[in-house]
Amino acid sequence: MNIGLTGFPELERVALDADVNGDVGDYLQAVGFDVVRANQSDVDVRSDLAVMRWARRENRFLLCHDKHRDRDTFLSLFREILERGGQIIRIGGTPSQHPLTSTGLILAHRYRWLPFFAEHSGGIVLVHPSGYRLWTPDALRRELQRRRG
Amino acid sequence: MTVKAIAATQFNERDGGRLWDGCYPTATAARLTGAPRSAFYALHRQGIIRRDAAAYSIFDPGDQPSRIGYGLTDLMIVKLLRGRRNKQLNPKTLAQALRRLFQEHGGVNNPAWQQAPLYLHNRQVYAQKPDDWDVAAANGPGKNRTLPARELFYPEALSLVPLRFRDYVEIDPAVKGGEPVLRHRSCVLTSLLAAMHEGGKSCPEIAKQYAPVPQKTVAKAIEYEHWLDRVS
Repeated sequence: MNIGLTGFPELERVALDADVNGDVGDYLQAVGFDVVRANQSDVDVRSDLAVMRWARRENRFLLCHDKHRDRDTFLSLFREILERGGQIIRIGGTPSQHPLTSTGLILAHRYRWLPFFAEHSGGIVLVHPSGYRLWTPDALRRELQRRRG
Repeated sequence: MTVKAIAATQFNERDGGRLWDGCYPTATAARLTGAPRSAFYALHRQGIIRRDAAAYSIFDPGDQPSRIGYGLTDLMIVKLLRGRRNKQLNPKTLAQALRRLFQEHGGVNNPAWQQAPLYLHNRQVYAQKPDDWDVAAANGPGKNRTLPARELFYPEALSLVPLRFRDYVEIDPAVKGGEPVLRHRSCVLTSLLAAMHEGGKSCPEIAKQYAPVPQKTVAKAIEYEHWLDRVS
């Protein structure tokens, strides 16, 4: 394992969506994550799909909050992940919650999402105070078929 | 409110359901419009607004929406009803006429919306000229009036975001679930900036963290959130 200048091990490459508190990025950076922020890049942060594609191009896990969206947005997101891949970590709670809460959720469940993403090039993980949930490509495919009705 | 916020697609209906025009729970709807929750309940009971906008969370089991609320159309209708110059106008017919205008012209910032004629016959409001309009006019001169939509309302009712914040804040259902965000390509949630400010960060510190967002934009976004808290 490489040792970074901070003295912490160099951890994963992550990308923060615009709705994640900037302090979360600072905390993750402090413990060794390689962090970039969507709102400081060229990506169109208005589009969930564009942000996910950008994170994939950058070869990073995308960190974002669990959001309420219309059905079509989810279907297109599922399709994109299935067809082209993409690794998303959704943080339970609201963007306004304390940044240490979000950071803690990411770190506490790292031992779950890291092996999951090592196994699947496309998938979604929800990290939540009450637990976690993994969406494999198969699960996404089933969901996509079911929601298409 | 931008034209984009209420773009043509958002007020059309398809397959008997709504296209995405956001989904606002009553508390959020009340906060954004400055109207009390009771106003929403009352208007809903009267059938003037509809609480049937659905939103999904990716982790919902099944195909049931995880949230039901009001669409942006309904928020605008509530705002406009409360901001109508003539309180005698029948709210039900006015709301129907407004819904029709939203479907045809999109958002209130659209000049076509603002100029669209509304037909007033006594207390009733129509988006289309009623069949008996000319007959009624002949029977009672002065009873029928045609006015551009915007003239029926006070200017501050024509947007969810007050004029002084409009250069800095926008609400667009297609962006971040319709929550207020910076009118800046970074699209940062205003509630997030306010939370960071409450957490002890100064405006320059926040602006630095979200560079290149201007400091003034950050300050205005926080001020907007405080304003929402005050009016709700």
